[in-house]
Amino acid sequence: MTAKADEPVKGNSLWADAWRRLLKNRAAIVSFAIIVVISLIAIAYPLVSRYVTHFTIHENHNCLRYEPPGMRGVPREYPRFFSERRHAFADVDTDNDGHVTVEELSAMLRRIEFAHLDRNGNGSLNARELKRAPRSFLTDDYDELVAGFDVNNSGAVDLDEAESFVDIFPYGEAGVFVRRYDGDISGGLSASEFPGVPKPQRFWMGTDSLGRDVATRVVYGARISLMVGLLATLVSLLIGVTYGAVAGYFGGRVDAVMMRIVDIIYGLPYMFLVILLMVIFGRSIFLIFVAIGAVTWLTMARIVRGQVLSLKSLDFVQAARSLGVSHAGIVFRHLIPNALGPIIIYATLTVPAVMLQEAFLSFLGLGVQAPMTSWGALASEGASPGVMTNYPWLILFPGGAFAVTLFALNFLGDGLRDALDPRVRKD
Amino acid sequence: MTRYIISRLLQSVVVLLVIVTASFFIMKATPGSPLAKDRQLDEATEQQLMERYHLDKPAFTQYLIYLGNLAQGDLGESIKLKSPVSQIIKESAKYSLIIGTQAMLFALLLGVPLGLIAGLKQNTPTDYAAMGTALVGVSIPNFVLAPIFILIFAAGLGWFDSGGWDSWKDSILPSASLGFYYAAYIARLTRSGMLEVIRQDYIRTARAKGLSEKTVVLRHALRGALLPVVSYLGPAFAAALTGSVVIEKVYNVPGLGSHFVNGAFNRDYFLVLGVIVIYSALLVFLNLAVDLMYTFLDPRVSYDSES
Repeated sequence: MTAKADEPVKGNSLWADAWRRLLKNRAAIVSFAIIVVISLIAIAYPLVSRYVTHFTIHENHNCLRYEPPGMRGVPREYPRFFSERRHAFADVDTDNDGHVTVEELSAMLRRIEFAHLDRNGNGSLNARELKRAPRSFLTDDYDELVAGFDVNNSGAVDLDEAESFVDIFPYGEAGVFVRRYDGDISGGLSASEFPGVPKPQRFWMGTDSLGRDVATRVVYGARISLMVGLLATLVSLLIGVTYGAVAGYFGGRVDAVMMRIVDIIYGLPYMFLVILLMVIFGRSIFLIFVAIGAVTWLTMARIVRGQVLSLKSLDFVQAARSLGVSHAGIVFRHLIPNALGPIIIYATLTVPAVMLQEAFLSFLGLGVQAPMTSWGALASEGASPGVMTNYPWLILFPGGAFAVTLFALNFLGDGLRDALDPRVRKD
Repeated sequence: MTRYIISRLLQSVVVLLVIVTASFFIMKATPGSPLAKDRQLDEATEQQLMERYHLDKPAFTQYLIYLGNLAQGDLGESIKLKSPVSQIIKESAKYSLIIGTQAMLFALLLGVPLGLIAGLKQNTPTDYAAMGTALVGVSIPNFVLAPIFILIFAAGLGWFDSGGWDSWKDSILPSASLGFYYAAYIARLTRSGMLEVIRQDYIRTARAKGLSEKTVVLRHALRGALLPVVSYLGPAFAAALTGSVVIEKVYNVPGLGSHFVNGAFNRDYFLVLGVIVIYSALLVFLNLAVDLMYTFLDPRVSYDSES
């Protein structure tokens, strides 16, 4: 009719079609936006925040434990530098050269801890004071211990002699502190770089049993939970797709044996086996991905096998074969790309399932270990008897964040299924 | 039919054997021994205990001894708790089974009607409300839901105790918080089953015969719509039993789960294996029962002729 008549008719590809359908599904788009926002926060927040959640608060500073949400307080990131005003720059800078080094800071840390132990303030520790040290010694006989540490025979343990047991990691902690505020990368802090006592701010989600900011913990938990969700799904994809494609492609006896194996594994109480694996082989985060991924690939294998089975008799596969494409080439270049729709749908739904399993393990104390945390581990802390009724924010915030994420992922998975697989569409 | 059942039972034995073997050698491959935590043991006593539990023999011999005992129904003795595993399981499985069964009942009683109504009133506000609730249900992990239930019904309203197990009443909250997820899932399954069935010819025929809408829905449609639900029941019940590990922890119930986790930590071989054996046997049996139930609900499914 018009000038366009001689242009070839452009058909809608499957993907363009699916994309159009997905955009029309408002709930799925909102869910997708929620997931993006949560992921961005999880990635970006630790880069801009001054908090370091993995630093537990020192035992002697417990005034901010179990603060309810909205409470104001001083961020207790490095409480021992901040909590006592007398440790101003001039105090820490012992050689008065205008530059605080890691050595000076760690010496200061040691002096502070020593002062905490030294109840009577006489500059040395007797047996009673030694007993308060947050360390376990080989023997309970503290008189003997004092005699052992007391090299100069003064009858008590002084600062130099206490070096071996008063705070054994001051150097590392001081190093982290210096690096964080060292703007000109001089290896030390000048007076202008040295942070003052910080302004009080609100803990929007309260604080936990150790005085840590729950909001920060929830963000760090999100990092682990989302990472486990993604990586374990990847593991399950890798195994499931390969296994299913091989079984479907070769068919016959290979298929029968491979799928029978899947049937048998399906019957296993796999969560018990995962628990067993976690208990026995330690609880590295790497093992969590592998253990969960290794038990969630079964359904994926079945789906891919079914797809490949119906695809492999089509003409384009015959064509590829007659061109001399290898088996691997046909499976990975031709069959799997054509089965991508169901794979994507199921993978999206695997992510929340996997995150739930990680949370389940962490909840039992078998998942990620302190100082790392995940939503499951946080919920476990919050759901322990006594805590949950007295300090409900410890379960409500991590649990809420988790539920919202799972909700969004499930919604997105449903939306993708409706978009990519028109046959099962609702209407 | 008989042939099918027999072949399935044989297959189940193979599955159980695989499970026992895998678990046994995983436990054996672990560093640490069940006796390691008893520091006070002198050498003679330790030797005696090693002999008693056959720990001094090679792993494969131990495995054969265990299998032999198992074949005679002997689950061995818990090394830590010093009592027969079968007795421990008998005492604690009670709690897990009660919670699991009640959770499934709760799920069916809530999920099926919800899905049925949603399916019949497709794309109405009723449908959206029901399915929205269901999606919330499948998204809240039970270890979040359980404390929330405690906060509301125990700490807030004071209707229940927040933990422990003194009477049947104490099982209500654990069962409900465990069953909620399955109720939501079953509602979704029932709805999509209804949508598929309601458009089929036999429903049109039933309507054409002049049957009342109630009869059509309850006698004809629901039966077909429940097929996916039935096949979900087996795995769901199994998952509910696993999930009750968490629920037991939150509600402080002395069930099977805590024995399993503690047993694994303490390297209490026979206790762990016993729990796995019982649990797997239950799972295998449930799957078989589900497959057989299929033939009653769907006359087209038959296991008699081998195709």
